[in-house]
Amino acid sequence: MTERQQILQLWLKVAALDAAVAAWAFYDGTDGARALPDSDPPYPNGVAALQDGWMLLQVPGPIGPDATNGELTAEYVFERRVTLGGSSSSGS
Amino acid sequence: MVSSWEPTLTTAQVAEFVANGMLRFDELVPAELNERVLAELPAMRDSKYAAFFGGAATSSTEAEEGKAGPPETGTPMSECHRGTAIGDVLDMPEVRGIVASLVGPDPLFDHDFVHHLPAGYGDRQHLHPDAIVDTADPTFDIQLFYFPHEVAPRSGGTRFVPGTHLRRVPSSSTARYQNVVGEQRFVGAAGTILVFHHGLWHAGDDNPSGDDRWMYKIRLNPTVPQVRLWDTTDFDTLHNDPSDHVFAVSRNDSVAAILRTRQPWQGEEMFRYDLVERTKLWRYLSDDPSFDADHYLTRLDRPRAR
Repeated sequence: MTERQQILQLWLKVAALDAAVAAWAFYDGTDGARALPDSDPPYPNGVAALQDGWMLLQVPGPIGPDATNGELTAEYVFERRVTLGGSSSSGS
Repeated sequence: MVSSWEPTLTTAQVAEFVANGMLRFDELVPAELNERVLAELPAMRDSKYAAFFGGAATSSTEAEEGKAGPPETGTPMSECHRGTAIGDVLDMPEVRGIVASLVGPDPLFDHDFVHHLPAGYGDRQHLHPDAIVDTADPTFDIQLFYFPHEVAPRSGGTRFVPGTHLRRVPSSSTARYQNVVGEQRFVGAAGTILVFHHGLWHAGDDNPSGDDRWMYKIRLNPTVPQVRLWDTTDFDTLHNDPSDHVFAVSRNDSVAAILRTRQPWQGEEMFRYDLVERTKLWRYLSDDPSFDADHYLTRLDRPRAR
């Protein structure tokens, strides 16, 4: 049994987990059997990702007054651990 | 015949460019010229690759036919690619009219490139603006993305995110955004030209189709202040006074109304910060330091009682 990690980054429209998704990225360390489609946001907001079994790793800190017009700031990072050859060990 | 630099864009179109960071002109280049360009692009691509990876930067086709070689950076646009099909595209009054409206007549050649995505090409480029260092002042370059053949869905159409052009980000840091809500992939007819602000986030896409995808891109630098360069016939009608405020009294037919265009990736906070940046740019373009949309800059400008 081998455990592998999937990473989901969600940038939300404001820094609240129940806010809508503005951008996303998905990285898959598994065999690809549980990949996410990239044509539409995989979840409408961060809470929906939690409800689907993703474990929250990182939340954004306070946004300083200078960080107003650059990167998307409300970045949340999730992981899901998948056991290859069996069911996932963490998350759904 | 050499065409003039008569500007063709309206105030509404330039305001749209300020809001979205891009304009789109479908089927601008006629079919016959598209065909001539397509015949020319493979040799031009080879020349570009040879120059990029070390070698002569002269197109074999141009050299054999005694035409001018690839332009050097800083060459006036009117002197670029003379006697070639690409030169004929750059000479079109419709193209010159768009260019003159945004960066003035006869801007300087920065660089160009032939972007060829062979059928079945599998890589997706990371999202990026096109430079590591760019101006923080309101002046801007434009880039023309010219598609000489039809591009169908999932056939390598350039990916881009409207409204990202005024976000100050290092070129590579946007690589993290694999997907952005509201991003687009170019799909369109032959002869279509996209005109981008230099800061617009974009990327080459994969091309899972069975057809090669060709695109010619050129970046142009202004040589004059970019102030009211377009056809300003509609300027006085659209250019609102600073009181235009969406939370008080606002017009729905003003420049401010166009600048309020909200992109799907923008939350309220991001939208407002971008609106402020758009307002700063319109102040520069219109040469009206009192212009405002929703009162943000007027508040900052207002003398404070002490």
